[in-house]
Amino acid sequence: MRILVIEDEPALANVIARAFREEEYAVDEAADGEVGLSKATTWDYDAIIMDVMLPKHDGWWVLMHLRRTHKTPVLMLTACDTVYDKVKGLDLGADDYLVKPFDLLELLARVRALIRRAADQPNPIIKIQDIHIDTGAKQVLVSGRLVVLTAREYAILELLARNRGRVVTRTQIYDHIFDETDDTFSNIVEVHVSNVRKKLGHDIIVTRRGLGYLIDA
Amino acid sequence: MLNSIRLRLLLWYAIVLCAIIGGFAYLMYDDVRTARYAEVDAEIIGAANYIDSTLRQFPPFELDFRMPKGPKKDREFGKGPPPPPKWQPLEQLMANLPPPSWPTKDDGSGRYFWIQRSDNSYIMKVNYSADYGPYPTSGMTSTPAIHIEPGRHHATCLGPFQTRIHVGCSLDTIDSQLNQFARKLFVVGSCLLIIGLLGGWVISSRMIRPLKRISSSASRISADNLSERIDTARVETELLPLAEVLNDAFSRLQTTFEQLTRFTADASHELRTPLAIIKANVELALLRPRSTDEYRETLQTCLQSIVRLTQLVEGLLTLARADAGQWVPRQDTVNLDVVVNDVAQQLKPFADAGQVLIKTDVSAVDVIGDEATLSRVVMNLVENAIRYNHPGGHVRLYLGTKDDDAILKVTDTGSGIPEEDQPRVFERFFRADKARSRDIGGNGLGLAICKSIIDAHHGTITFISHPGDGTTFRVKLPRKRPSAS
Repeated sequence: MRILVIEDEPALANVIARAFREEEYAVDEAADGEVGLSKATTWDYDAIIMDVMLPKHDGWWVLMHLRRTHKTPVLMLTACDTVYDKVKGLDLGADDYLVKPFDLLELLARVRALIRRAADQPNPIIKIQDIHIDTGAKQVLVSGRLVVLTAREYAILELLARNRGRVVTRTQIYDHIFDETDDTFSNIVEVHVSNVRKKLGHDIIVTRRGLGYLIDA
Repeated sequence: MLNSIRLRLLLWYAIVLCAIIGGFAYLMYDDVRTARYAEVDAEIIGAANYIDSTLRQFPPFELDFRMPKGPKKDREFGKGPPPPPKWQPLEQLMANLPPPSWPTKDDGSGRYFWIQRSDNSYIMKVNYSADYGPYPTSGMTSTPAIHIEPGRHHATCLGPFQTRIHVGCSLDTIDSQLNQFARKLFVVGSCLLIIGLLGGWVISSRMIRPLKRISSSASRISADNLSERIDTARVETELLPLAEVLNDAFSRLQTTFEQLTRFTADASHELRTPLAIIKANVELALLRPRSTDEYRETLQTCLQSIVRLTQLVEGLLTLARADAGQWVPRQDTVNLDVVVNDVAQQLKPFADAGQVLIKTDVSAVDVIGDEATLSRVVMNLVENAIRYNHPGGHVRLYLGTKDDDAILKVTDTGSGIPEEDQPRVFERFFRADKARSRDIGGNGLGLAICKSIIDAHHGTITFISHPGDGTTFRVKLPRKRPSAS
């Protein structure tokens, strides 16, 4: 999963990014509204965490412009706690609203929920035949037995599972698993997919030649 | 009750109306009365004249018993008119004596007359009363003279052969007619007055309406819609200044309100952000076992935020206390030149790091105040001058005097303050270039605190800034005059 953090306070952006990276997210950062919108419209993020008070253009502006073209789930992070501001944010298109100072675990959980909703899979447990993917605990059970996957392998599996029935191109996988700070080779995706197949079975992930991968519905 | 404009208006209006109607009615009445009395006078004078000329037709011996009865005696005396060819019979003469349409015998009507001979015997008397008079003969002339008595007018004159003619008319009828007239005037006048007052009341309500309109417009403007104003295009000329003053007050209220809202939002943000940083960092560190270095880093980050929070809280408290008037600066003698030089020295490393040169032009000046806070002001101004500068630029510190004031000027060669931002420079949390100032530290309270301190010292702080040209801050403080020793 790849998320964007738009926050102008460097220390705060830093700790949020670190927290999500530890949860195996790819995290991009932006320090003002202009760069934030530019990145948000360039890449297809799974979620965006955005502060309201930003230099150049504030969070409302970014949200309004983003919503014209993208359905990316947005969580507003801000110091304004008035009902008026919350309502304004939600009505402008934000999907969730957290007031600073926030609980880190709560932030992590809410972003997970947003991503679940966006993928139209409200159930945190995704079942594919006899494979249970627990997106909350980030664990995979095959016929009840825990299968250990690396962070990247899990991330690819979850991405394909969330987009079940749809072909996900290699580039898309790459864009969702790695953030801009990564410069690994793109064929690493094939390596990871092949590892997942080894652990979960070959039929799980189907290759569409020239297009990408998919998990059958 | 007298607080009501309408009632006061009505009261004055009633007084004026009363005076006018009353005055008019009185003048009318007086005029009519004078005319009626004049009529009476004319009538009795006419009657007297008639009697006088009728008497001259009487044979003299009828008028004056001392007169001889025969023609020979008449010629001898040579008085009176030549005897007529023959005298009319006495009864005829007597019948002609009462003036036409006057009573010929006692009938109790208001008109009366009597004619006396010089020996006080009566030739004729009609409706005579002994109460009438007395009228001294000495004043009488052959021209009728009017005597005005209560309830009647009386005329006297001398007839031929010293006869005395008295004619009079009672005023009773006239007076009762005049009374009726007066009553009618009173009734009509009162009606007019009442109608006038009613009309006045109605009109005054209509005149009060514009005031009501303004007050209801004004009361509609509340916290929810402070941007509304009274529509001055539809306000009457006399109320225009009032409407404008109210609109002005609303504008100022709106500005203050907006400033307050902005301040609350800013303060909230500035206080919550360091707290969020600390909280998130600590929570993240506690999520898993960490290395000693990671813990150290976390603690370091937290400490930075704590320092920032502390500065912010201190700044806000200072401002709050100054606002509440609780802070009065000390009244020490402060060598401002020493303070300025100290600050320049302290900030030299900071300036060097930014490749900014500090130049000083400082004369010895003393002021009365609090050294610590004044030092803080100078520090803040010079820090800003260095921060908002560019490499190779310089900061010039000037300290001098002008009349009774100490003048401190801090000039920088930075990019200046944009014109649209200039009115808000001393506002709390205001920063001209948000992105930049976050990098270089600062919480936006510096200049607000400076102004607060300078105000408490009874000084002023102003600035001139031209974008591209740099900025000069000018502080004026009352000097301590060297005491005569």
